[in-house]
Amino acid sequence: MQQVFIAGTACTAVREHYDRSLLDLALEALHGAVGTLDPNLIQALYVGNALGDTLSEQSQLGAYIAGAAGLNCEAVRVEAAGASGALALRQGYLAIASGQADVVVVLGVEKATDKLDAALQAALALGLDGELERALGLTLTGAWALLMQRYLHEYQLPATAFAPFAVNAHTNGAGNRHALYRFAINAQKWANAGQIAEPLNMLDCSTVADGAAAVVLVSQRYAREVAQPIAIVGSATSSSNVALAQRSDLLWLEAAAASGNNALQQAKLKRDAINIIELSDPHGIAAALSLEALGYAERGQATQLAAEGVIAKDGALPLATAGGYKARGDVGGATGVYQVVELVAQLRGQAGANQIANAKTALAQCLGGVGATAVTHILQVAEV
Amino acid sequence: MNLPKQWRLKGQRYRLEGQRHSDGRVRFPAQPAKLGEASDAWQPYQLASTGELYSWTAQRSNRSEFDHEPIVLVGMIKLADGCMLTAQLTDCEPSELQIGMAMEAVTRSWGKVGDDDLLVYGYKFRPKLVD
Repeated sequence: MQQVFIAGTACTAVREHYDRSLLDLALEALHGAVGTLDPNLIQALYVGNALGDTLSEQSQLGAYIAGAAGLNCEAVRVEAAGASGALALRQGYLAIASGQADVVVVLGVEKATDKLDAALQAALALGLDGELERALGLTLTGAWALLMQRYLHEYQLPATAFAPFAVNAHTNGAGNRHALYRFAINAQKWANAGQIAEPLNMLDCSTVADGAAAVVLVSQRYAREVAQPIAIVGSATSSSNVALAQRSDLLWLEAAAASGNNALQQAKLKRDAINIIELSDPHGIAAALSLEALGYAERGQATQLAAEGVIAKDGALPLATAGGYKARGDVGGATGVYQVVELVAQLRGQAGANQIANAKTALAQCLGGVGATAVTHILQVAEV
Repeated sequence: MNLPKQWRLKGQRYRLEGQRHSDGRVRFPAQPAKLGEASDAWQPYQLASTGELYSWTAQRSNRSEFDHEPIVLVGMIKLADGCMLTAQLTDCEPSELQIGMAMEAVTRSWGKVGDDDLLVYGYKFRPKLVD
């Protein structure tokens, strides 16, 4: 197995880019990440995208984007709902680690705003079980709401216990120029927000928007020429039943636990070695269950972790330091690549107002649907 | 219109047809044997039509096929035979719903499908009327 390193990274601002196409966003991110690297060195392009065939009415995104970029190489679109970008990163990782390639590019791109919200909700619900859930009218937000309702019941908590996740995300988003929402909120504002899918309220729901992010992955041979290479020291994915009713434990994200444990084991790290973390946090319940699956909180205790400030920038486990899904914006299948671009900036000391001091090791976990797919990557400052 | 699909699903949607394993486990819907399982390990079984509310949500932001409805109620029901399923809830208001309350199955319209407005029916659950 070859070691895998991250070289260039870039992302677009997360916005409702009504004046820009999927291809416009993809090319901006690709140009930024590839920079002055000779494009002829690129041996493969992995595109993470969840909604392109539905909302942009375009399939074959690998070839479509590679062609526009002037690349004639292996080009593959990877789809696993919200985990698409993270899974594309894993494919890029495997291509380098296996020795099949020395330079690949991973792109996450989502163009969500070409259709109205009801159509977007319909597209997002494709990540649910089509016959058992989607056909009933269940939305992806509604599915997370089912988990939250049960969580509140089992642990006898008020909905406001989840407010610190969104408050933290907005505090951090205010310092990220790429974020969709650059303003702070407080717990009172959170508590007064209208319901979207009870008990999830508007300030506990991310906004899906447009964006693209890209990273260049290289083998050690090329990493020596990179100013601040970041090593991918752990990469793992796992799956569980898509249908919620077919899971043995509704409040345990089995795939998140398995992929997290496997990535840590591969990296030969204990979880307390992680300085900074990115999770799938479109709602507080998603962040809470992920923290519990990863072993950072006992079951039923994750909201306490958030309330105590553990996830804040000055806490022991800073979460969503660029705003997370809630403030940076939910970029669908591009999210997994955004997470890594943001963590690389932290590890390189380039995170500006949101910089976490002495961050050396970071973990990114990205979920598809309600955690049926989970992908975890562990990044570390490298010495080549 | 995906007429063959609607026809194929009539057993699970009209009659709650699932499967029961020789060891007593029940699952829904009927599905092929998993890898490593004997092909006849699971036999056809009609699920219990009553159970209790395990979780629920009231969706106020809905998909295009459902956005004519101001609120879509969806719940998870733990049936009397131990099987869990997800269903739309009907004949009730969000304020009436409590986890653990008794529920029963009814057959109702799920909506219209395709350009010809094919009416699709299936199971929904409502608070149980009589104990």
